Amino acid sequence: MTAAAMVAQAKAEIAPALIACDTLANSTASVTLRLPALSPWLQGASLSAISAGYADESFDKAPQSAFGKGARKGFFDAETYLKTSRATITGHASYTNGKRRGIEGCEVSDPALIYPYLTADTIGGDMNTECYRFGGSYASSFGGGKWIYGAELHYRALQEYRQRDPRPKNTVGQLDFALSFGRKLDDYFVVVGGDAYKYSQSGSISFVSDLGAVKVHHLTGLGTQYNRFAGSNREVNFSGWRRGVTLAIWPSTVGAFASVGYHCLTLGKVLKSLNNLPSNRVVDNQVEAEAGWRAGAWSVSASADYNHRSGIDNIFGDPAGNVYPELFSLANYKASHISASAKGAWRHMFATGRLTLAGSLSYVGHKETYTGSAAVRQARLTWLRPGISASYAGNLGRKFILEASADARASFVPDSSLDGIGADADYFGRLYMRDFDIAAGRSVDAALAASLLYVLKGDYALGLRLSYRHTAMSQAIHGNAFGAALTFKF
Amino acid sequence: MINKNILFPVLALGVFGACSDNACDPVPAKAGVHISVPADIDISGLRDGSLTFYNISSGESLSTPCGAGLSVETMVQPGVYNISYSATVTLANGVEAALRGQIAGVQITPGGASTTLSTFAAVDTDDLIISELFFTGTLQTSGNQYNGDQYIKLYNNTGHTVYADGLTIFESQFLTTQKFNYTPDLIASDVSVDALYTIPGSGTDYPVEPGEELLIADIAIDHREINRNSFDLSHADFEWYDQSSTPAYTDIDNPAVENLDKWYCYTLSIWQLHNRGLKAYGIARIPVDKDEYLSGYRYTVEYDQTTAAGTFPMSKTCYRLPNEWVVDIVNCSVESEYLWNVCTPALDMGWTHCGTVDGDKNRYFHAVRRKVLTLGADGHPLLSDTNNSSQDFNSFVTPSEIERQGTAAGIDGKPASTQTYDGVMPK
Repeated sequence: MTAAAMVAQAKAEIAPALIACDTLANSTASVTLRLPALSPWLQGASLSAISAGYADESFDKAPQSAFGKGARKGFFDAETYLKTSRATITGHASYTNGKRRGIEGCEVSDPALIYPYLTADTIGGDMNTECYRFGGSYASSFGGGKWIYGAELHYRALQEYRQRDPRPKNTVGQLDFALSFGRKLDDYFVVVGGDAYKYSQSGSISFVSDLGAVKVHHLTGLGTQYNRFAGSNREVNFSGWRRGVTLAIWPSTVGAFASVGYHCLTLGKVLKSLNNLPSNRVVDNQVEAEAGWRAGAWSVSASADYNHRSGIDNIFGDPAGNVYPELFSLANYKASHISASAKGAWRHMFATGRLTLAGSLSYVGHKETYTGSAAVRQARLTWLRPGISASYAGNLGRKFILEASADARASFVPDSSLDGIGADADYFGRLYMRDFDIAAGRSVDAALAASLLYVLKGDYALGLRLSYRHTAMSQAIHGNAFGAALTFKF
Repeated sequence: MINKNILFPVLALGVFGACSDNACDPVPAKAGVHISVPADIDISGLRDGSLTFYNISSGESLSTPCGAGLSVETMVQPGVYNISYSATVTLANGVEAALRGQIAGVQITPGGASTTLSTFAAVDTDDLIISELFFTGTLQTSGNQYNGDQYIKLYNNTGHTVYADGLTIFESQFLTTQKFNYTPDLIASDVSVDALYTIPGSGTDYPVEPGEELLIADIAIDHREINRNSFDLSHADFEWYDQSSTPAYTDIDNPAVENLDKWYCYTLSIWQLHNRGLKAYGIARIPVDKDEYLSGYRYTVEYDQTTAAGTFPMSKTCYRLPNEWVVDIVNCSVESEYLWNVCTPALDMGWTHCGTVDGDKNRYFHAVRRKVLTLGADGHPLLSDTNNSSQDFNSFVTPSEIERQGTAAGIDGKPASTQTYDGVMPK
């Protein structure tokens, strides 16, 4: 069944495009559908939503210390997906305000992006977080539908801070841009796209307590640090940009789809208090590929992703004259991350609703090495991750629509090893060992979500969404996440 | 058309280009060290040599035993290293001495490097040594910094009476946390100083018996009358007194305690020890009189200072103290800010500290105290004196006067309750 036919059926038999908008099935083509020129295939019908809500996630212990023990946040979110006769337009704007809890070994924001060059101290704590996002895309066609194109622009502003010592204050700005073009060949579009983002983060840590200050450390991976600059260098800047290209084939109705993409990120860290000393930089190369088959009611895909990250420590000479002369650079940190996944989704339309079932199985291999220390530190992990999910959306009487979903995931670790870090490691080494032990253990999580929408008139609906997720990890770590949101859809 | 569609991404890849790290792989590099021994030392008596490579980037040390060898090659990670050497040597007179050397900031590139390390035989000056520096001061109950209760202790670590008369206490001109390319660079021959205060006396007026100490205070009064978190220094042997030209900063003179003879100080107000401990402090026997010294040993040092606004030529005028006059010197710094020792390694190969970061508020009520090696037969402590302040001193410990008087050991006013010989070894 084509998307158009699905919408037609939906409109004929049940309300609203609310039910026709099935995004779960699109998860099998998540890489390919990132191209803005393909946004017309994201949903079967126009739908906009305004939501406000609250979410709380908490763990007994931080699964990964730099990310903390969870977060609570209130949010306001508005998004639209609008199909007109000439174009598909999307837009979103959101504001979140909350607190990330129990962070250790990281006083900067976006730790996954800037890893391994975190700035940290031995205290840590909660972090207030405030984030604004907005953006949108435009996609259309010309030449009688033989050519398609799309452009996308997003902006993110993030501020994170703590109001007790140590007092980090981080400000992040990120501007994303993507552009893609496609040509129809028979029943397929061949699409090529380019995307890029510019990233900057400014961070500082201050102390006002009478009890004094502690050392600020500049980490270099696997629990190591740039010992020379540990101490009072409390102001840092990160700046970088990522760029990439993607080539895709996409069926206009049903059929095979495939994409291959390459992205690279360069990001540098600067210590502002040492005459803007460029201490480290990250170079990250990523290749990803996806291929699958999309039918009307089902789709399957296989994908692979290879990511290689180099962390480079710049080595400086004698700082005579208040300037550190750069001598040479050493690629001390290396990480390779490979994943392969198989996904499938099946959708069934009832007279009064829709049921979608999806499943996935992923293999993930991760290896990271730090060779700048006397004893080479190396961590290897392999994960096997199965997951299933189901969602239902359908009428409940004449005035209500019920949306419900359930999913379960598991993570098994058939192989792991950590070398070069011993019991005599310092605070950050021990923290890394703790994180590794948790990551090397099994975990399962299950989630339930339900929303009840009251149809006001035509395609307008007002609803309440509730969600719950429970996570059980090794070392008896449990996490619970709750969410509640009021939504107005139209 | 297909060709064009395929061509575009290829072109795009070319435009964007793959990201390259342009960095060297950190494979171990060959580090060659040639050890240069003073000409008057017979190398046949050399043994138990050991080289230590301290990587200043990672903070890790690697020790390599080298026996009696004078050319050593070893593999280390590329980086910038402080390399130190120690060995035992039998001198021509049959006496065993320590042979030491240190060279800082050696750049071992991925292609390897070699360097020459000059050594020296550690000389026992057979004189007083600095046993304690209390430069941090205390805090008032209000949290404000309290000045005036700083002190220096000298100790007779020898087996005979030593006369303190004429011994000069000095402060280094340069900071251990700030380094410039100084012209002229006199570090191999002199210590640049900015304060000199001399113990008076005709030569035998102030005997110090073995195991005895001299307490030299900034202001020798009972400071508890002003700051209840401080302690009594009225029993000091000497105090340094400055006739200040700044009315807002005046000194207090206790007439019951003898003043040091002020030879020179950079400030026209009052001299205080650097309370973050960023300088070196020492004692010297100056063999010339005050006037001759002040007229003959003054010099101007020039250097460039680079800031965000540009590079500026700077100069300072100070005094130089020939290394052979120096009896003892202790480099102090802050762990997070330390850059260099302001004297030759022959005088001091290490440094000590109070606090871990610059401006550390925990540093108050703390001192650096020389380690006790053992207690002699007469019960007197034998202190460590290897001319390496990192090894010789217990850093960041409770001052002896606070311990002895049981006065406040912190801003909370809680009194010190333990008694130690050196801040660590309990009595």
